[in-house]
Amino acid sequence: MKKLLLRIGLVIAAVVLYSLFWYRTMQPVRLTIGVYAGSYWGTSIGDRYEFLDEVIDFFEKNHPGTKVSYESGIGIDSYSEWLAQQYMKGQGPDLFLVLPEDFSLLAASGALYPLDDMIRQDDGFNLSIYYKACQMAGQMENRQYALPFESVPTLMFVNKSLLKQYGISMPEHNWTWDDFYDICRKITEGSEAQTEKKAYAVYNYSWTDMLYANGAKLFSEDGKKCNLGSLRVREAVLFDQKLRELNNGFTVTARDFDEGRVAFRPFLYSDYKVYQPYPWRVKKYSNFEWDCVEMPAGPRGGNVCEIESTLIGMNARSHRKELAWDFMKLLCGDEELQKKMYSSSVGISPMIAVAEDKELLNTLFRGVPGDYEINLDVIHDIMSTGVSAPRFRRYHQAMIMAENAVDTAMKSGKAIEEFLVSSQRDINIMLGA
Amino acid sequence: MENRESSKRVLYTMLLVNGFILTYYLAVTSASKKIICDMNGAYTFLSVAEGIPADTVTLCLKTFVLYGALSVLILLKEDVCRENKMNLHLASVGEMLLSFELICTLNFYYSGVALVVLADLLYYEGKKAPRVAYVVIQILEFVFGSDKILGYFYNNIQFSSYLYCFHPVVRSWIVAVESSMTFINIFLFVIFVLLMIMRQRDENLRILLLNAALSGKNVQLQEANIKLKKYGETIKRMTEITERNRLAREIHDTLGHTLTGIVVSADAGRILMDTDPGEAKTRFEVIGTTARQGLEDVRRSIHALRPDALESHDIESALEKMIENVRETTGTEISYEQMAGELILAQDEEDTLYRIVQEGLTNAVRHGHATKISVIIYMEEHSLKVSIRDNGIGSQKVEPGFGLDYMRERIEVLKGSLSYGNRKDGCQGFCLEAEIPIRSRNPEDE
Repeated sequence: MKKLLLRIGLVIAAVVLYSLFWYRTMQPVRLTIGVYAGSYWGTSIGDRYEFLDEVIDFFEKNHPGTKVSYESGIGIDSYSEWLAQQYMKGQGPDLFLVLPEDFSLLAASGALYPLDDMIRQDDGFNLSIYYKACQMAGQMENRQYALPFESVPTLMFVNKSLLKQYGISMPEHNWTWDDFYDICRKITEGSEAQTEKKAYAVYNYSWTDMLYANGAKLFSEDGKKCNLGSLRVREAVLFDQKLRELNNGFTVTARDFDEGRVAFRPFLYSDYKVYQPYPWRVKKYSNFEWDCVEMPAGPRGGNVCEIESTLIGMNARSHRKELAWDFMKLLCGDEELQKKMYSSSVGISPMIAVAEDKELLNTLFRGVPGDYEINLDVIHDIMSTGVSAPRFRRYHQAMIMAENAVDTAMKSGKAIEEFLVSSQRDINIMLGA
Repeated sequence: MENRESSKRVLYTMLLVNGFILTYYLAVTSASKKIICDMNGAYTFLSVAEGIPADTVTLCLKTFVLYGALSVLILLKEDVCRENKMNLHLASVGEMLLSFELICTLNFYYSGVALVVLADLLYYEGKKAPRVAYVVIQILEFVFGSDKILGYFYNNIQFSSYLYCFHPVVRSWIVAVESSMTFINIFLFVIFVLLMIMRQRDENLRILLLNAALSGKNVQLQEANIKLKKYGETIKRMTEITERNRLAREIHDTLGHTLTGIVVSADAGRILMDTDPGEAKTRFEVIGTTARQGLEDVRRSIHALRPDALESHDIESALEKMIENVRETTGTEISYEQMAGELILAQDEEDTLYRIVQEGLTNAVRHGHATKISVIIYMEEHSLKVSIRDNGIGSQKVEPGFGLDYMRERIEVLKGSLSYGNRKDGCQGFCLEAEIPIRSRNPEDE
């Protein structure tokens, strides 16, 4: 009797499984994408959805029987939480945009699918089409978890009017910390006499921005070791302190900067593109002339800046990885589509061929007089020398600890070197844990 | 047997309890995920948990399918695998794999399932080497399957991470229920093992009792055997007494009566000899008549004592029948050669011949323990000769008993001779030779 029941049960199970399988093959293949509205860098000049719909149409035409969908209206502030909830609730989208600060968490927790095998097996695709820094943004522990979608380097904003006022010429392309300090000192000394509308040298430029320009690596590649006490980092911290001392303890505010009373500040390329002086697209910083240049080089480095990249990653749980890979390649590796996106984007394309397309660049900066500082050569320099922030599981925690340590060291006025070395030990303990 | 039933019941209860525990884990984690999402805490959860939780639907489905398969295996094992040892081993291995997969699927929150499988293995597997291996594997699985130990090496989300979203009171209740259910599972397992030990002990006790009963019966059997021997001897003696009494009565009734009459008549004849010779002559005639009648009576009595076989058969077939009978009853190999031609014998000669062969065979079997006996009957001049040889143990010193004496007496009555002793032809064994002169061949004897 029991044997008979067992057999009947097996037959029923087989029938149910077969009909489920049959039902699934009859359904169109669905690919879901996770995207946020607007731009990660806060400023936006194009319609992201319009571009996406175009790509989807193109993709669906080339892949009959496939339906690509996305949930619209997810703001940038709630995007990380939305993505996390998708994972908590179940499958999550097959493909999704990855914010720079979420990358290490998603990769370390196994949410992202490593793409190395797919890249190796795909003859028509090569990682060398990207700038090194952009490609590295999607890499962790020697595995490529995501492809770069959009990149934004950090530039140095220069208040041209202020410099002219103090009789200082625009800095050269390969300027150094010493050049930078000279200008700052001239402005500070020159404005000391003035009581009204005092001018300041620099706003919001700290040792963390200087690290890359001095060739310093605050953390080892695998994120297991901190180099807070190393020579290059110490030089950056000391240079930061030297600049602060120029202000005699006065804290420069964003208001001072907006009013045109500050000569320098680190400036995102995205802001540059939106607010660039010509053709006056947006009414901001309009009461003075300004432009951007590369970051000044430290004594042991070059004119290197940080490049932030948004990425596209594949869900490790996706059942349609091959299809997702095809879509991913289209979104991140197709020159024509990247060009289209580049023209409506606030960033720079991570693809070398697209970012350094002369024709496209001319269109982008159409109507701008010839004396603007950002041109093809500058973009090439910035993008090919730039670096991306380290990516490992406890990066944010370690960074906060390092910043606090340097802050405390500067305020204590004691020997900074000793302090940094002891803090380095604390951070290493945390990283090793 | 009662213990076996109880341990089976405990095993099924464990199965039920584990089903509850698995459902409980699934329910708590699912509820927690829902609450975390409602509180917009998913991102924080992922940062703290350092892993991504499994999809709820897939997780539940996989857990129930695996546990269902495990339960079916355990429940149907007895019916399906009772005869086949190989199937039993396959089922055991299957259970172990299922329980391991289940522990992995549940992200190492709970390893109590390993105990259910361990109990089942203890219940069914014999005492052989595979069982030891299985038991060790299951114990390791139980110990290292909990999230505190294996989870440390395995990138997973601890069960406790799911509890932070609950109110502290609710959280402590959840933990309390979890611990008590886990405890119940372990408690049931301990009871199961105790029952198994008791079962083993009962079995040993039963075997001991059986052994004791068996040796008791053995003693009784020996006693009965002795009694039976005694009884047989008593019967034999009683038969002898009855026979002797019958003979005594026969002699008393025939010879006693006749002799008394003869004595009386003889006395009377002696007295009358002088006074009345005519009367005395009559008396002597009476004596003669009485004596003849007495002889007749004696013959009749002897006739009454004849062997049954001779009554219904002639001597030759009676001998063959008797030999065959001995052959069958004792299993002795008897060779019989009758070389005397047609046996034309008087009744007393027939009886004697019959008794010689009978007694000789009986002695050879009973005293000589022979396995081979040869009986030869032949004629030499006017005498019938009987030779009985055996391969038995022989006899150093023959002590003639009733049988041999009786035989000798009978033979001597017929003017024959009897000799016996160990064989002198070099072989081991006993030899008996008898010679009976046959009256029909000696006309002058008549």
